[in-house]
Amino acid sequence: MQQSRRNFLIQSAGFAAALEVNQFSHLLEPVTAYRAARQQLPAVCAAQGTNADSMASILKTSLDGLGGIERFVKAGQVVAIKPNATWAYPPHTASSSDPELIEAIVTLVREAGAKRIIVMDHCSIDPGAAESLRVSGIGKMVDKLGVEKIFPDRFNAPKSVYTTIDFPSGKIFKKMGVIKAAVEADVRINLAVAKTHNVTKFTMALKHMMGFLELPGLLHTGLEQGIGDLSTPSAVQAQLHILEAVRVRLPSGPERVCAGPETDLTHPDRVKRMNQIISGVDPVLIDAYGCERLFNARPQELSYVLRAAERGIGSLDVKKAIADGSLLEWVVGKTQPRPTVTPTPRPVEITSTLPATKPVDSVKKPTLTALPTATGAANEGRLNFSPPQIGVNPGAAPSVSLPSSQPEICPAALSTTTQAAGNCAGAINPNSFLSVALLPVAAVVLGAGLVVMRRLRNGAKEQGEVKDDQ
Amino acid sequence: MTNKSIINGAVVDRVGRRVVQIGFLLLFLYPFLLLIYQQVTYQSTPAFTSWLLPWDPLLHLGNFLQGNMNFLVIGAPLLLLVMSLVLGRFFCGWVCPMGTLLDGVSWLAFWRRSRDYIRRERLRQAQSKSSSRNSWLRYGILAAVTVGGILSLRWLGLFDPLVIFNRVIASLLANLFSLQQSPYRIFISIVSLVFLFMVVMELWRPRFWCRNLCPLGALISLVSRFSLLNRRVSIACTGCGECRQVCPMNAIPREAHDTDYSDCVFCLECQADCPKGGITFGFGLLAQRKWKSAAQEGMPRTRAGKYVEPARLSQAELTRRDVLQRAVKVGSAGVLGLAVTPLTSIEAPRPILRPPGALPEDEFLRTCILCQECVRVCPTGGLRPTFLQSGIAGIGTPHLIPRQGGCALTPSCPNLCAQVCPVGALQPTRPEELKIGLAHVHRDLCIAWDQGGKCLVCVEACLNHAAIPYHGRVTVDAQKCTGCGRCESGCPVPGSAIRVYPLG
Repeated sequence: MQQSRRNFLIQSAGFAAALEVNQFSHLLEPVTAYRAARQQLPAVCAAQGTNADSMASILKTSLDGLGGIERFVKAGQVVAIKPNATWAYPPHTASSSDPELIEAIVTLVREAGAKRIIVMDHCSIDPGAAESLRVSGIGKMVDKLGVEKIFPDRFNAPKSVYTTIDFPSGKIFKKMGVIKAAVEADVRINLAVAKTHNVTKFTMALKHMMGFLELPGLLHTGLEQGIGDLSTPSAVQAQLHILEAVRVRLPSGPERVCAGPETDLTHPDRVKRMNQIISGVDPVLIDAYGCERLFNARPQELSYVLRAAERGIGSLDVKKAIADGSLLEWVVGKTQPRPTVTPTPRPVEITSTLPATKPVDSVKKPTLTALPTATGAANEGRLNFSPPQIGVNPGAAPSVSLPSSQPEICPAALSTTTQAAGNCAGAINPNSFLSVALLPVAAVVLGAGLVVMRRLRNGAKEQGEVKDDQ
Repeated sequence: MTNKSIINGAVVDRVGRRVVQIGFLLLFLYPFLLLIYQQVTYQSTPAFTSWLLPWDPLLHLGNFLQGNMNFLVIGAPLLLLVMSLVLGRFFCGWVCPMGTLLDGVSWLAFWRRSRDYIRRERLRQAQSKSSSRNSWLRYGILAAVTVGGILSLRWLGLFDPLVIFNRVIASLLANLFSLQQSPYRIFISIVSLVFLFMVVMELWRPRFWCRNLCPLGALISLVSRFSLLNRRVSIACTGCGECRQVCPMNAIPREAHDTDYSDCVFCLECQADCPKGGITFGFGLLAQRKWKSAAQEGMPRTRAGKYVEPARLSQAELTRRDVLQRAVKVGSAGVLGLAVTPLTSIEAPRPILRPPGALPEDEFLRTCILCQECVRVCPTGGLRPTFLQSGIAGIGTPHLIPRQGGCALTPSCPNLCAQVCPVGALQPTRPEELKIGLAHVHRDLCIAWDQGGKCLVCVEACLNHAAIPYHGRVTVDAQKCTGCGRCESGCPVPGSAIRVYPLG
């Protein structure tokens, strides 16, 4: 092609103009970001951290891969966050959401400019909401953060907490009662925990949506399809799913429990520290990824995930998702997304630490590494307790004395989980509430004082009169 | 209030006494307020034992008859009796929460404030022949519940005002937050009819219950007639009868200088309302004797006035015939108490899920006083009063409704029901000893059995590994099952497909 002078001039002018435009390209950014969110931003991002990384940093990395929290939460919106606050076990037991993670997500949402933040969940029936929140530390954290909270006691909560909504694409359930505040919120964030489950084998993002329901037990009448129904387009469909896999509860032989007092330090074969947070908009892909990478299982084994994928709620193919870039695997501290499917050593490591294979070796590792927050010798030995040996192989589970890495949990909270407190003096346990009783005591003293003072004054007067008479 | 009453301090007296009464009422309601707080805010609160029942001398008398010796340790009821020796029936007028409630109800009786009513009442009092209208029936009731208490504490619980108070408030509050059972049913099942009767009679006459029926008041007045605190009427008295008219306890006989210390609750109304200001209250060593002798020695009349004579104990009035008559009356009441007890067990008690640590069924029925303390503190709300599930004798006794909430003894409840039971009908139980029933799967209803669904909520709920999945179905291990009822409370089938049945 011949380069005429005229063409050269036109081209260089155009080039200069393009450069000039490029200087103001930030003006176009919202449009491109929006387009990217529509088309190119990944559906799921799994962030891998180390023991040294805080939950906030792992979460931040994971959300950055998705395009930041701004992708989901706009300024002035009402945000409902549903952590797992079901179980009355302390943090680090992979039973309920870690309060630290709740703090991290609430901080992020608040920075994004949310108008109201409501934290909600159903707690287990047995100790009740108050006790569960106290033991799991979530109640204290929520109070500290100063966000709204809705933790209705199952069966005892007023009907006004709930509302009935339609699930137009639901297969089993077309109408269900859900927490009203979740419907009224603009954005719902599903903060799930990866752990085993005795009915569905594993529970991750999809199943965790059940906490929004008025009667979660009712879903068990058609569990396989019912779990999928919850993630169909409806008034409670979550915009963002976050799967906490920092500590993951693993199956132990045939036994699969949803919660227990074991921690990653005391029972490394039951609760494994994996330092991952997987967030995304596709709950099925999150669950499939979790199955493969956390539990070393095929996603098809989980019937409810399979059914949900068959219905088109999400994608089941992790390899394809990684290949086409809709699933990112990021590492905390590195901003570059890993481009291709390179087999990481991590899954291999997980398979090698499946229960009963090497329980003794895995004891040493966490004691060296997993104590980033233990604050010196003062805390050591304060909370020495040996949890009950629950499990099929109690001999293999070593009892490790646990230095406190959670100084805010009182020993009483731990004792309720380890052993029943028996006949401790729980019934006559004075605490700060007692100060309220000082008001009626003051009333009694005041009233009696009034009357007695009058008696005394009259008595003095009478004495004077008598003297006058004499 | 007129200017006069402000000057002579009627307002101060009334306000002061009301403040004391409300203060004590709130103090006794305090353990209940925590329940409300917990239900409204979902905050964890400690469970308190009742602050009221430990002070009940009648309850501990019954405990003593049953061979339960807690009261020796507690000592509070004895302290109350000793204080009554000094301060008379001050408990009834200043402390008793039931008395406060009844005073509040009395205030509602607006027609009693009308001039017309007061005039008619004065006329009636002037025409009445007897020196006092207060009935001896309360001593009869006291004898009946005490003697009956040897066989069954039930009678004591039915008529003791402090237990009635506890029962009514606890069941109303427990019911407020769980709407699974009809309030009417609860109200009948806790035998609050006595309370209704008290309220109705209060509208008719002030303190009707306290004057004529209350067994606790009768017990205290046995002591209080020797009270050191006493009422003095000076020579200024014109015998106008104003004090008789205002006395809610009817403690002033026709001779207005006299005071019946078995009735007087030291409410100070007469002092405030005396138009001459001639009434004072003060201490004196064994009042009647001192004042009698003082008058005889010719003390200044301005101070001594006429001596005070408890009408009931005056030797002139009490003939041997009177004493015998009363002895026969009280004795027959006691026999009645003994005789009625076996009548309730005409119908054999049916087995029912009792709270953990309950005594054997017949013994439990004889010991439980229906105070509803266990219902109040139950952290899961599973304990409820029975209606007719365990027969007539069991009306109002606690039983576990697992559908409402299972027994949380194992992990999260430090056996609160046994800790608060004032009569030892619930004994402390270790979690490993818990065995109150046995779960049974109704296979025709169970989702896993009948429809092959993947439910197994009961397996998830069971903490003892007693509900075992077996090829996708659930079976119950009878050895491990404690009957706590967590499975039943969680079952998604309407009415539950796994139900806990009492043993035997």
